[in-house]
Amino acid sequence: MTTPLLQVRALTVEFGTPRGVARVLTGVDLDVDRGEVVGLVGESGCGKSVTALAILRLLRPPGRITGGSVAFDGRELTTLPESEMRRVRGRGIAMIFQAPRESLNPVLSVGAQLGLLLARHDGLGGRAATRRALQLCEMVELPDPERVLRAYPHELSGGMCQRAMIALALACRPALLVADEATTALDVTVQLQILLLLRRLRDSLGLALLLITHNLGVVAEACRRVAVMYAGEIVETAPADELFAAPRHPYTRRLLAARPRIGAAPAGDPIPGSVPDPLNRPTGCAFHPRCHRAQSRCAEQHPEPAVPSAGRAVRCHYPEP
Amino acid sequence: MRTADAATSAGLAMTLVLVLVALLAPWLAPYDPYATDPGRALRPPSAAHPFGTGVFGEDLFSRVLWGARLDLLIAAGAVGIALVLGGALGAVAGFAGGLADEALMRAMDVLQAFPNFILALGIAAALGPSLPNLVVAIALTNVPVYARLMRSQVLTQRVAPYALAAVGVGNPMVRVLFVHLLPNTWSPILVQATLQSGWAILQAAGLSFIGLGVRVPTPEWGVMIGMGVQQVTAGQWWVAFFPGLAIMWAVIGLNLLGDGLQDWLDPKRR
Repeated sequence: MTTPLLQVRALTVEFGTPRGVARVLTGVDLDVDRGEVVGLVGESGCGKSVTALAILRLLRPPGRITGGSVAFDGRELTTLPESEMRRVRGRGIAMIFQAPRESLNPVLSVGAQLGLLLARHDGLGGRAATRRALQLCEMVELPDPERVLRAYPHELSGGMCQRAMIALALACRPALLVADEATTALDVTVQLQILLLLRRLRDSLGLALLLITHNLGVVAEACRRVAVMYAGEIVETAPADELFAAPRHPYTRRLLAARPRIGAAPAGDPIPGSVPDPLNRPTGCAFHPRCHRAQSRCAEQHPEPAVPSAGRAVRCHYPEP
Repeated sequence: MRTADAATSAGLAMTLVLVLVALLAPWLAPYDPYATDPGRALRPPSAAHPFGTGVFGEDLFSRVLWGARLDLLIAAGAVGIALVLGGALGAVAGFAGGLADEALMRAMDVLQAFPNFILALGIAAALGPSLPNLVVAIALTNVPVYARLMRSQVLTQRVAPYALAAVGVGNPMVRVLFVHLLPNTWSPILVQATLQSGWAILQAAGLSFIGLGVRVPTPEWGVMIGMGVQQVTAGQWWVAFFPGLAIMWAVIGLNLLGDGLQDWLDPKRR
């Protein structure tokens, strides 16, 4: 097997707070291959966004990486000097965010924001920059690119802002695009359009995608592989179809069951309790206080990931059959 | 918001008149502002002397016009220095945070602990009365306003989602600070500068009035009011009245303009 484009191993992130050190990520393992679409799902506050920010080293104090490794294209990012890291952002890995309009600078036109990036990364100016900007707009299927380039963010719809943001992200030809809840704030129809666009970009550019979302529908629609996160840990990794057909981790199972479905009663009770406080994590398996399969061992021993079949990993002492 | 628009337009018109008068004073003024003529001292307003004449027979109309030039220059200089110095200090405090922030802001507290005019008075008195010293005194008292404003702007803008997003797509941090963040901090500072210009004129006139700014023959509004004060009780009201009117004109115009600028600078109204 070739090494994946992005290989995250045992990534640990801690936030120093007045009440003590909160361990927000505990030993996250995550792989993304070239041209692969990987979903990272979980409830709010489980550490999805922190994972993305940690990969790009954009965590703000008091958050910091305290352990583990992030290898991208054979280079270790956690120890890279900031000047080198700057070249990775945009050219290696680009990131887009949840609020598309707020992600664009309100006082600069879309064209100006693109121009700044192009001038820096490709040394493009004047007519060549305009041509490339138009080409990027076409790539993200923005209608009327000339107008969009002149427009300020508030003059564009949410979907168009997200397309413009994707154009910005693609300006430096990254190999991996991290989309942190990139479709969450959009209408469902626009959501689908953006997802389809991202998939087409994957096909045409060979772009790898890490889709961070709490929306399982998005995962089912777009991803080949899925990692499920709970309380700062990856609890289950599986190919998307297998995950939906036969979840092995009790949390995944309850999460899937909690999806609302029209015409059917919910397939299970909601998960009791709430996400643990990162300052006060349960002993053993972090999910055991809420788990219907928990036994005494779960409270004592932290489960290591088990590999029930190729391409799957489950962090559970008593996985679902 | 029709009334607001009208007020802003009025402010803009008043400020434009002021600037034009200041620029064109040498051509608009019918007399030399320094020319005295004891033979025509203290004449009330007339066709030849629309604002009347002063104690030494100087033409008050010409002096008020020349005063616009000097007072605007003082205001622009003082506000410009305060803006650059205060803006830089505030930006440093906001970006650096920690000890630098604490030290700079406590220094600003010290400056602001004094009433504005008293502080300017102290500085002007210590430096001695002259035009550059007057500008420096007014500038120093206004530094804290810009420092605080800039700092608060930087603090809010640096955590704005677009700042993180700009870094996330490959902009270097330093460029994000200068190209992405600073333009977003300008509009309240420009508004503040406009409002402050009116107050700077008032301060300059005040300091000159009590003899700590520019000196007597200079055509400056505060000086001119000072020269006319004794005449008011004698019924020769025009000597102090017209420079006072000019100050009022300038302060009202700049304030109306400043209030309206906030809306005009909003990118959503472009």
